[in-house]
Amino acid sequence: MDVLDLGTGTAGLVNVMTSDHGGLSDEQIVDLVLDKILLVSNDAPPVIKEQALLFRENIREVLYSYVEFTKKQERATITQTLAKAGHEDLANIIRRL
Amino acid sequence: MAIAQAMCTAFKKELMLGTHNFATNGNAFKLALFAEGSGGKSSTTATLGATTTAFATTGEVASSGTYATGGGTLTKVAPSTSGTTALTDFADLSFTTATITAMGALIYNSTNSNKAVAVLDFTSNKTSTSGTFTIQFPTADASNAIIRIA
Repeated sequence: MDVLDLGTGTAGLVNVMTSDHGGLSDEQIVDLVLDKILLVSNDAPPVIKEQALLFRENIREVLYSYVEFTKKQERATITQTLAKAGHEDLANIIRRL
Repeated sequence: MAIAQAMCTAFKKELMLGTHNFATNGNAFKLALFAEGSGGKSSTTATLGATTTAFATTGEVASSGTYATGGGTLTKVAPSTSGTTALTDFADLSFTTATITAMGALIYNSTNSNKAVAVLDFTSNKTSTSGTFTIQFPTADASNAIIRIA
């Protein structure tokens, strides 16, 4: 039977991620991205599931390092912009993040 | 339950009437956050579900950080098909420097009289304190997309 269906299973639900006193952590961002890249079905054959989970962990490590790198690069740009504008104190705060 | 996940019944009818246009240059859709218990404005409690027909402020969380009353505008992803399933999707939505406690959300059509589309139940209170509140939509495929016609 054809149905008009709003996903109600676990994967069909929205995922809400929150943080306190600042933005999302690197780990949270990686989790958000991973959920978009790779979903591993609970019904997958064990061997395939194991490989997929292993692959997911490999991707996690790569993503984490690049998220960290991206944030550092962004902070470096902001620090330079603030320093050039004469806000050395603010630049130092950003640099220490 | 005061907030129950559902595709609104009125929305299903309105699809047949051509009320909603999810094309990227179509209608504007928004997502508003709601509280159960005392988290909403003026301590009001939201009752949302399949029978919801339009956005109302009862139980909506208060403005905070980048969250303003009425919610955030969703960035649409053009409707597509996968096999015999039609689906549409939205880009993830974030509110920053926000202090929010929300139990669910309503997606609604802000172009057409704020008509309701779907109710999202977070199943538990989600809280950000002077932080980021992110709603991530599921993978846009035939099994998981947020809105599907199968």
